[in-house]
Amino acid sequence: MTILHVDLNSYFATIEQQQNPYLRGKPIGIVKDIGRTCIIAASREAKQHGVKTGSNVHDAKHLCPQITLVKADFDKYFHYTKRFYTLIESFTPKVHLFSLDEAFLDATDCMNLYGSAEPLAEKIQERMYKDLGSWVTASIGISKNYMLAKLAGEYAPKGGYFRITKHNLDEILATCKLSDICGIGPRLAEKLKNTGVTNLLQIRTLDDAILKRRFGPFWGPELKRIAHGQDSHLFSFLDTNEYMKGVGRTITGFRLCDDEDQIRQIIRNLIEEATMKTRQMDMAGRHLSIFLEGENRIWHRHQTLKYYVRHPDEVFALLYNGFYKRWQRSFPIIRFGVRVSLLKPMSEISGCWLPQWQKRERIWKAVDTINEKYGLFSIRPGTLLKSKIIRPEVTGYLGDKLYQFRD
Amino acid sequence: MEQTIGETISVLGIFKNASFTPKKFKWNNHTYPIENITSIHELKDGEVVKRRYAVLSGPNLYLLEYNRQDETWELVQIWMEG
Repeated sequence: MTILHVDLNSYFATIEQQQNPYLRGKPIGIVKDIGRTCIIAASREAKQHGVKTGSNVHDAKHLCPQITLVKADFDKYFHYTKRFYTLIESFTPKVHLFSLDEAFLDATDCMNLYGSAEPLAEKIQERMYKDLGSWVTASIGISKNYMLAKLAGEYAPKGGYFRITKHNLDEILATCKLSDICGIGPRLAEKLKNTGVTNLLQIRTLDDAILKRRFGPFWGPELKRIAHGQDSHLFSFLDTNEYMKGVGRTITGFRLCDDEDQIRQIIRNLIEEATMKTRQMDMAGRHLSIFLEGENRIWHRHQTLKYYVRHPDEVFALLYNGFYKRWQRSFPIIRFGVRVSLLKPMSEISGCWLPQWQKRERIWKAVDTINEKYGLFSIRPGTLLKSKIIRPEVTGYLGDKLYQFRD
Repeated sequence: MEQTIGETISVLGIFKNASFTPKKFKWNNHTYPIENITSIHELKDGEVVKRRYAVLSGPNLYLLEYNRQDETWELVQIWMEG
């Protein structure tokens, strides 16, 4: 197998610098809105000063006083992602978009066309320069499987490529950071360190039973596979075309919210979006959850129903009227989240025969048709008439890509 | 420094190979030649598709928006260095 992993460098910031040449070569930080305190992406120049994704604006300004803050434009980033996908797909049909700014190419069947993976990587870089812009670059990792191709990308220079072969595999595994491996998060890395594992090659010598006992039935054998440079099971889902399992929406406010009307509006708004996406994919779910986060505290509730739902009024009735109103709220809220999960396509669910459900379905179909024509939230519930609408936005990991690319 | 404008403008350009390239635009009775297009992207709200061009003219960067439904042009924003 020949796999290439293409990762666009400092994506959001690079796109802004591509659009605005006056920002090129300067440290910039992307914020969701001017006034927000979290940097959601940093340019490579800002990264050189120690500013990272997730940095606080105050800290970023301390590290890099000349940093320019730019308001995020998610429509623009998603448009560039679509162009990136089209570009990559023109090289091979076996493409997996892994997140908003990275994709895997299975180039095994098109090696006759390009000779080897290196000329293909060069051609991709050339096309990116031409189609996406001269400032947009990518790091390309090449190897025999998804896990190693992604790891190789960590070693590739900006705008260049790097290949992990059987000759340099052991050296890479011995020297890479544990957290460079896709799937090994901070907790697992910490646990490995506490076990005495400081590099991946050491795992080869550990007994299977010890690994299983210490890291569990999934991660025990999985770590052994990774240590031998075999593909991680986490990538097996790339080859499946399964439908989404859940649709959620979260938002972090500007400041702590203690206003009941506003809390009701935000919850309703998030439910509208989650259920709209559910209906757009012609699905319904039967697990509903809500969480509200304060400064140091969190409240959450969830319920698995015996029937499927997809209309905002029925989800709101359960999450807001059912759960929230029964809760004696004891702290102001900064972060809100709702989720509809255990989704199933409508074609696999027995339709509800209750007349009130049929009526709801007709109403929401009509609302969807109008909103598709005139724009989202053209028709919205009275609760949201006077409030500032929270619009859908793409996330970096593109968790809703099956929804976003449904056309 | 950026400034939001939101005013209707006239745009002159070339349509070739199924693609439109703006060459100059007129705003406030002044014609601005477009020296470089740095970025093009589309946004969609309902059935309305808008195409945004970021263009350089003189020392400034201008964001032009073409509404494909109304077939109108708007100057959305100006970005000035300094």
